Amino acid sequence: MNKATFGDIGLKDITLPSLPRLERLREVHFQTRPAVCAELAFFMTKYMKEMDDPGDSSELRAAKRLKYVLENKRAIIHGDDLLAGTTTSKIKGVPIYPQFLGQAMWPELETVSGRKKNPYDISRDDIDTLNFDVFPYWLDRSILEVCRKDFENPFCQRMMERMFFFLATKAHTISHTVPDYEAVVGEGLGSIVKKAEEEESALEGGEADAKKRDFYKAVKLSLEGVTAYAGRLRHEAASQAAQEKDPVRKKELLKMSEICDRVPRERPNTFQEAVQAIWVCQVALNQENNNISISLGRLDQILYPLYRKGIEKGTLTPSEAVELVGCFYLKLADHEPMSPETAEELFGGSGSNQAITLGGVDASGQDAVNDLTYVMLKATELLRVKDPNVNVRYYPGVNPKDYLRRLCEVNVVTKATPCFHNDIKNIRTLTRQGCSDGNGSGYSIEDARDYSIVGCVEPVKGGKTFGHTGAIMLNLTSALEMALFQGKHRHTGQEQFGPVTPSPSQVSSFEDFLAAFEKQTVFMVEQSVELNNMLGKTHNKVHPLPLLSALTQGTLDRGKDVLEGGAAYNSSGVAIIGLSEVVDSLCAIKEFGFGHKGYTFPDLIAAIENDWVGHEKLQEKILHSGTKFGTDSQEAEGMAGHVIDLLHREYQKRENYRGGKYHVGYWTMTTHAGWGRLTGALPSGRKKGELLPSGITPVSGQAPNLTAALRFVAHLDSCKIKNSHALNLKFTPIPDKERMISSLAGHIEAFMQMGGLQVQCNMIDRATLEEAKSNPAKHPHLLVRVSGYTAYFTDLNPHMQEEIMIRTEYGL
Amino acid sequence: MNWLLYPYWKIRRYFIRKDLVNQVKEDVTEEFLKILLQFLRFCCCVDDCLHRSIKDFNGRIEFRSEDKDIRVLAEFKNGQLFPKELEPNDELVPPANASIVFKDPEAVKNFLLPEGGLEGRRDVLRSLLNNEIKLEGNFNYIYRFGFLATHLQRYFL
Repeated sequence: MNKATFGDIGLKDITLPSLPRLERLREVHFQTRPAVCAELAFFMTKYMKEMDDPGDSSELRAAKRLKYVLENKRAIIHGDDLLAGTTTSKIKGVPIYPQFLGQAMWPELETVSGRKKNPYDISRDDIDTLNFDVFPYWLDRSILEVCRKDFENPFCQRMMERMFFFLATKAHTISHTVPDYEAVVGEGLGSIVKKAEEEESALEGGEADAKKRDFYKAVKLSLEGVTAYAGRLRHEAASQAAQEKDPVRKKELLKMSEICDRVPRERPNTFQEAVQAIWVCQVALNQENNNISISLGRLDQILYPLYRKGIEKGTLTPSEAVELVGCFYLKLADHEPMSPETAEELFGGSGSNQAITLGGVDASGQDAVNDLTYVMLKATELLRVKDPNVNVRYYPGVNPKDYLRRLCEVNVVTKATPCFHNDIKNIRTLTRQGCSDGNGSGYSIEDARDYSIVGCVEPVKGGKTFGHTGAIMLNLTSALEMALFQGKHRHTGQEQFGPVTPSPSQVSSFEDFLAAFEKQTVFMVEQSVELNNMLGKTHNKVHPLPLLSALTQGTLDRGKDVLEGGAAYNSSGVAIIGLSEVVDSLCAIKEFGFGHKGYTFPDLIAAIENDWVGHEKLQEKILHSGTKFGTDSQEAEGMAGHVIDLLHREYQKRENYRGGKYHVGYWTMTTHAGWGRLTGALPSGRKKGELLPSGITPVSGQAPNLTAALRFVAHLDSCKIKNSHALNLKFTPIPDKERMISSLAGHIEAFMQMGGLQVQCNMIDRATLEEAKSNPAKHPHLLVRVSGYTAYFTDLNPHMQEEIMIRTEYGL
Repeated sequence: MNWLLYPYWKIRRYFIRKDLVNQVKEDVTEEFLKILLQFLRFCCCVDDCLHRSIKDFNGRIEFRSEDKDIRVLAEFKNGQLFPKELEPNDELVPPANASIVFKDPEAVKNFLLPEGGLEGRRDVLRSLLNNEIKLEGNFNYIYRFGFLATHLQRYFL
């Protein structure tokens, strides 16, 4: 079925000037400053104050609330866009979710438009709405506060709120998933409603069935809300058409009106209908849940049949398809996640991080690359926007080499995207049979082959999995810190957080210290899991997700919300921050801490307590020891394997609140910069406040040999890295573009052949980044790869900018 | 507000503000917190935004130093703010909705009147990350207080 027919897979004839609409919309995107939008918060609050029935089940309350929001949300079509509907009422909006952490913006409402980094516009009306009407209502009703009350202010929550041990992100969002857009395109929402009705009518009268009945009703109500929103868009398009003088635009608007009359309720018949159907569902999901990585799945596969149909019938050209995909990309970038000023230091510059997955193999293992793959790559190349986060799959030996070359060409042109995933390794990791622990992610081979990426880098079977892959972000350097200081953290002084482990004078061997490190790590795993599970239960109590459930397979069969374990596959994802720094520190403690080189463990402690001042000789020796993550060192490789095994084993022991497993990964968003700033000197030779390495990347400057670094990461056991990793590489651009593309393709092919899971590349040198930092106005849209996602360099906080600048730069 | 009393309010505001500015220059004590809260109380009477902001707000926020040497309660009740000094051993029944525990006097000043005193910007998370303050209880109450304090700072100081 899939077929790549283009003679020129780079589609060189399609340029931005040849698509003036796209050029205009792109300009609007870049010129528009984000603005806080209170629309969603207002309607949610109004419903809760005036219409909510506390006697209803939580599922029904959530569904009725969502339906009300969708029925009342403004229907907007901006400019000469080809797609109707917007996430917020602004051109580029910052939606506020009062049930999550929206209230963190409360102190900043009157100052956010003037803050130094990433200011948001906000109208006086929106300030007043939020301050007087919305936030006061949610004062005791946010997920975090309900959790605190229900679980009596648990220690794990208080620990998270100190900010530098771990983050359990359900306080902010529960997204990080891929809805079943295959069903939206293949069947339409009407068929899901029908199935819910059938399941409901088959129920009997017991109590368990009453709960299921409410669930099916909730699903139907939420889908009715989506259809109602599409209906409002139909009216808006028709109304704009009636006033439109330009006959071409009038025709487009009338077509949009017809499309919104049919989809997403019915099965789309054309490529444009399918894209519009997905967009309406995405907007609706954003009203149900904060959009942090509500990802799109394998769009080149899902949309291909209708793309091909249009091409064969002569109703669609590749150029028109690029234009429509481009409009869709810009729609996905029509909002930004809310971020209070200091959160900018941890997550600054991140978009919504909605992943799109392209290429790879199909369910039968055959090459799945098709013409639409190249169309979507072309849109990526032309627009260079931070959202969506474009991820590509490559199966060495099955996917054509020209395809890999084209991927590298797009990476060279955009400087930062796409992100590369190895099909061989990922599929093996996802299946039960392929994994060293005999478990994998438990997928069938067909589902594993059909994986798509969530958020930064996490592979799941889209539409069937509720994996909340970004549920926990754990700062591993805090476990090391507590092992060094008997369960205390230097940043919090004398407060005892972790178990009391031996003091430096009691540690007589590396094994003693490793045991202390393991104990503190296990403690942090326990605390993070406990809080994630508490927050999950709280969510299910106060904010079930009927719409996401409707768009996730398994829920209708089981009659359960995704938050109750209704999805076909259930898991939770963990991201570990600081792996290579911790491995380097453990290696240094082993090598220098116990007399082998004339130093003792207390010497090391004294050195880091003094931030290496007066201990420069020791620091120098450690920094040049060669026993480092990302080098040829067997010792370091063994240590990395040990730590990865420990984290995998401990998280696997524990179940999430839905009866699923925890999957561990190594990606960091921008937390490595923020947490690095708060971390003291470490035995690796690191000084206080230096940035932590991103993802699974070696510490900057410590792995100068590219081949060794790639081999090191490729040899790690990917079955223990089920939530994947972000390996960030930075290459110095060279004038010979062809050579650069060939060399990059060669390195990626080799990395994958060695067994590497994922890799992403910035094709930019330090001088350019320094220039952009000094003159941000000259480089407003410079795209960079952070740790799993792309961002505009000038939007990033100074620490994150610094981290990208100092990354080891390799030659091609 | 009774506009006939406008000159009185204006004079009163001048003197309380003067007290507060003097206090900012000194070390932070209970007196500073009390004057700040009194000033906020006063401004809640004369400023429509502040007045509406606390109209239906019933909540208690405690400010205390780690050693409990300095301890002040801001009680919002029936549309008014009632500042109250507390003894180190006073038991709050019911407990405060939220407590702001500060490491040292400078920390609370930075938190309430941050970055350069009266010209600064408030950032709850920054104070937390810098470990200058510790928050206990419901953070949303502190965010709400943050709005009031920011407004006060922007329009009255």
